[in-house]
Parts: sequence; C-alpha cells; structure tokens
Amino acid sequence: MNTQPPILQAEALTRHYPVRRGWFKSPAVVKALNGVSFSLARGRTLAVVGESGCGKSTLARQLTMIEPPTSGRLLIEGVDVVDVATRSTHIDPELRRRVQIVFQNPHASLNPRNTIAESLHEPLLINTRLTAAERRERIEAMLERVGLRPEHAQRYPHMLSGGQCQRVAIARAMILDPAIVVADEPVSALDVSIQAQILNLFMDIQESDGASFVFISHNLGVVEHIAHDLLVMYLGSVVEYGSKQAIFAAPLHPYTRVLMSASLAIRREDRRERIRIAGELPSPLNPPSGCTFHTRCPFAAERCRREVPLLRQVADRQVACHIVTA
Amino acid sequence: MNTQALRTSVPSPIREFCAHYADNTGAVIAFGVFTLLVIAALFAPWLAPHDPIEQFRSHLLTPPVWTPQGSPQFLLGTDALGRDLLSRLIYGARVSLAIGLLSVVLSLIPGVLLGLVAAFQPRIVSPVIMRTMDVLLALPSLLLAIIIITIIGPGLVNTMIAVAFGALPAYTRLARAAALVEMNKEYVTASRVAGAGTLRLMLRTVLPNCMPPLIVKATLNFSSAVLETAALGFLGLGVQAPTPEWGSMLSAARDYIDRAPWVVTMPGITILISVLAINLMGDGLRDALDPKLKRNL
Repeated sequence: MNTQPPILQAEALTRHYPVRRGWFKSPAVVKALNGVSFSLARGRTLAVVGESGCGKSTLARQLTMIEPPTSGRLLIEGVDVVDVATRSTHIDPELRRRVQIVFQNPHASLNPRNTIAESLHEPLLINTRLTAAERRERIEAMLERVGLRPEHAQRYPHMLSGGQCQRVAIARAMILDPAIVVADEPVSALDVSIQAQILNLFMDIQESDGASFVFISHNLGVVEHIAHDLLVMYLGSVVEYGSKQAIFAAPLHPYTRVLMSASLAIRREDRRERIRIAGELPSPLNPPSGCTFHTRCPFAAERCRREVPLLRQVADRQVACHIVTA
Repeated sequence: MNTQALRTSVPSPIREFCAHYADNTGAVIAFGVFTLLVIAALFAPWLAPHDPIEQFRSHLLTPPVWTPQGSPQFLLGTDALGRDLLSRLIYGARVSLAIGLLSVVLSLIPGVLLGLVAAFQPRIVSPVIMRTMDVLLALPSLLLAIIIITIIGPGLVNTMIAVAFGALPAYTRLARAAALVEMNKEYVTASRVAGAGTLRLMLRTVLPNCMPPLIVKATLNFSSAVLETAALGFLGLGVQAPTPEWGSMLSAARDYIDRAPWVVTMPGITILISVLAINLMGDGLRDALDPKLKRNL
C-alpha cells in the first residue's frame, strides 16, 4: 500500500439493526457490519468484495453518511463525521458534498420525473452559488465528460439505456467534484460490453480528478481491472485486506481462496483449482461462534469454533484467520 | 408518423402531454363533456332559458318537449313547483362543480401534506396522524359530515368543509403509502446525498412521484363529493333550497318518480354523465402524466 495521508479512514465501523420478532420475544440484532477498519488514500480505489448479504451495501450507507454507524469512527479528510452524525442528523454540507454515491440500478437511481438536466441540476442548486448560466455550462461539460450528447439533457431516464443512465449517475456524483465516490455495484446491472465502458469511465475520471473510489462489487474480474486495494468481507467482518496484487497473487484466507476459485476464467491457464464450500451464508441474526466462516470452511479446526480470529498482519496483507501462517 | 423527426427532436413536456392525452379517445370525449359542463356553469345566466327559481304555477310537472304533452317553452319539462328543469340543471352545474372541486382541493392538499409528514417522521408524528385518521375512518363519512355541519352550521361553504373532512383519511393514507414506497428508492437516497433537505425531498423529490394514484383518487372523489353533497341536501343540512343543486333536485323529486319520471331522471342522468366524464378524464390524465407508462403508448 502507500504512505499518503488517508482521505477516508474507517475505524471499527459497526452497524447493528434491531429487528422486532413479535410481542413476546426480545428484539434481535442484525450485525450487518462488525468492526470494519480500512483507510483509503487520495486517487486510490478500494474494492470491497463478498457475497450477497455480507454487509457491503451497509458499509456504503455508512460511508456516504446516509445513516450513522452504531459505533466506530469514520474520518473524512481527517474530520470525524460519526461524532457529528450521532449528535444531530444535520451533517456539515461542505463535508456531505465531498462524498458521493453511484448505485447499482441505473434506472432506479434517477428520479423518473426529472429530465437528465434537472437531475444534474439539483446538487449544484443545493451546494453551490453558481448562476443559472454557469450551472448549465457545468452540466453540459459534465455530460460531455461522461460521454453523453447535449441533447440527452432534455430526456427522461426511461428514454435512456442502462449504460447511459449509469453515465448520468456518475455525472451526478462527479459534478460536485467530490473527494470520495462510493460505487455500490455500479456495473453488475449492465451488459458485459457496457460494463467495460463504465469501468473505463471510472478510471478516466479518477485519473483526471484524483478522486478516491470505494468500489463495491462481487465480480472479481471487475475488481482486478479497477482496484488498487482489496477488502474481502464475510458476514459483516473483514477477512482479508491488502493490495490487489498481493491478494490476487496469493489469496491467504480460505474464504478469499474460495471466492477466487469460484470466478470463471476463459483461458485454461488462468483457471484456479476449484475449492467447493457447502451451505449458505449463515443468518446474521444468529452468527456462528468463533470464526463466522468455520461452518463452511474446508480447513476449520477446533480453535475456529471457539475463538474469534482477529485481523493480523500476515506477509503483505491483513488476514483474520487462525489457520493461515506466513 | 415521421420517425426521423421523433428521433431527433425531443418534444416539449406540455406538447408531449397533450399528444399522449389525445391518444386516449375516451379521455378526449370526457374532456369535451367536462368542458361543456364548465361552460354551462360559467355562463349559466346567459345559457339558461329561465330563472332557476322562478315558479310557473300554470305549468307544474310539464313533461319534456319530445313527449305529446311537452311544451317548447320548457325543453326538459318542469318540476313539482313549475320550475324549468333545464335552467335548474344548468345553474346546478355551478354548485356541483364548485363543491366537487373545492372539497377535493380542501381534502387533497392537507391530506397529502399529512401523509408526507407521516412518511418522513415515522417515530412520533406518524402514529399520531395515522391513528387520528383511523378514528376519522371509523365513522361513516356521511355521519362525520353531519356531525361537522351540526357544529359549524349548514351552508354551501360548510358543506364543502364537511365533505372534505370525510375524504381526508383516504388521501393521507394513500399519500403516506406512496411516499413510503418512493422513499426507499435510490433516487431519493441520491438526492439526500446531494444535500437535499427534508422539505425538498418531500415536495420536490417524493411528491411528484406519488401523484398518479392521488390524481385518480381525486377525480373519483370529485364525483363522490357531488353525491355526498346531495345526500346532505336531502337531509336539509347541505345546500339550502331553493338553490338548484343536482343531488337535492334528485332527492326532492323522488316522490314523483312514478307520475313524473323525468323530474328524477334528468338530474340523475346529468350526475351520471358528469361523474363518468370526470372519471375518464382522471384516467387519461394519469396515463398522460406518468412517464413510466408513456413507453407503452
């Protein structure tokens, strides 16, 4: 990893959701996010991977300050925003505009009753004091940057394709010149050919703007293409965290190895030995004792059932596993 | 149709709306009928052949002009007091349309605002609003209207308020339900991340997307407001005689239904046609206003 001061830093970020189970039972707690820590430097991309229900989207909601975490610290450009967020629901608008989000479903993320220009107009109207003409100029410039034509501005989202809508969503996220963009599975709803275009657009924008990305995905092929660092999550916890090169070259945590072996490769020499695991993701309402992965881990030992593995430095990355040794 | 022109130019929203509305033949006819009603209401003094409350004592219960006993002086006949039915119907359009429109507005605006507030404040405010609405719903709307009129006294404006009160819970619940669905969509979250405040989210982001069911409900309510006013008039609590009003004309004439059926039929048909026209118009409006449905047209 690198030594620049981090622009985004999460320390033991935790989010629990209380769930009512009826009148006579005590409410249960879904531990959607369980002490996630990482840091992100300017101009870097952190990919968060894991299967459905592992807390990736919850993490995105914390990072974008849509909801406050239950505990933990979140520092954006060195400012602790969790403190601000828990004391009042009003977050400093200057800070708020520094973090933007791109969603998975391109059509759902645009207001169906607003034209593209109106959708792009809103963040400028709320956050800047530009004149109407300046705003129009910014919108036109932004549309061009994301590869759309000026006439798209007057269209409604339903008149555009999924890829075009995602370009608009990216334009909306980038128009305030944010420091951090959280992209929650931004390409998984798109065709493969469109996916590549959108990924390249992300990378172009990063190169010219120097924004940092938190890129949430379950597609390892996409992650390998775009990420600098990799954060692998399982049931709300980090299981492996390190640079992309290190983890792709030699995944250490059994779960990471399972994920890697499950991704498809066209060329025979790229294929990895397939490690199969049984069963479903355990319920976050009632997570397994010890290492949460032990129920499905092919290497689980007695110790894994009792003791929660902590994230520790192994070789060039951090791993949360009792079995792994450098 | 010229597809080349369609592809290159994006029509203005108003022109697009008109074009989509025009695709719906029923809605266009309904709009025509509604326009006639509005014209009748606006220009009643010039259109009506007689004064609506003038009693022609020598022409009691005259049948319509197309029957053998009919008189060309009274095109649709006269009622039991010798008043010209056509004139009364034309003047009645004023009262009925005003009551329909105003009681819909009086229940739509507060109802939608309450519903939106309930959706955005789920902890404390929402239960208060929604339980109050449940209490209002527990009373039959006519009974509720009677209670309100008993308190504030009879009359045209008070009737509107009473009728509006009965429709309020439906709008509140509809608006809240629609807002709850929309609020969980990603574009609302995106708007919040862009820095939009609660008021902006409510009125600019969520409300326009909740409108289709509310428009349909409002048009349907327009007709039930007319009917409810008639019921109140029948009980002597609504519009006071001799003001011509379709519903009270209908109920006042029910004693003559076997001797002089036209006295009942004419206001009945007028109510039927206008209610039908308004409902069809509402359907057309919804289809034309909803960009999601536009694709299928």
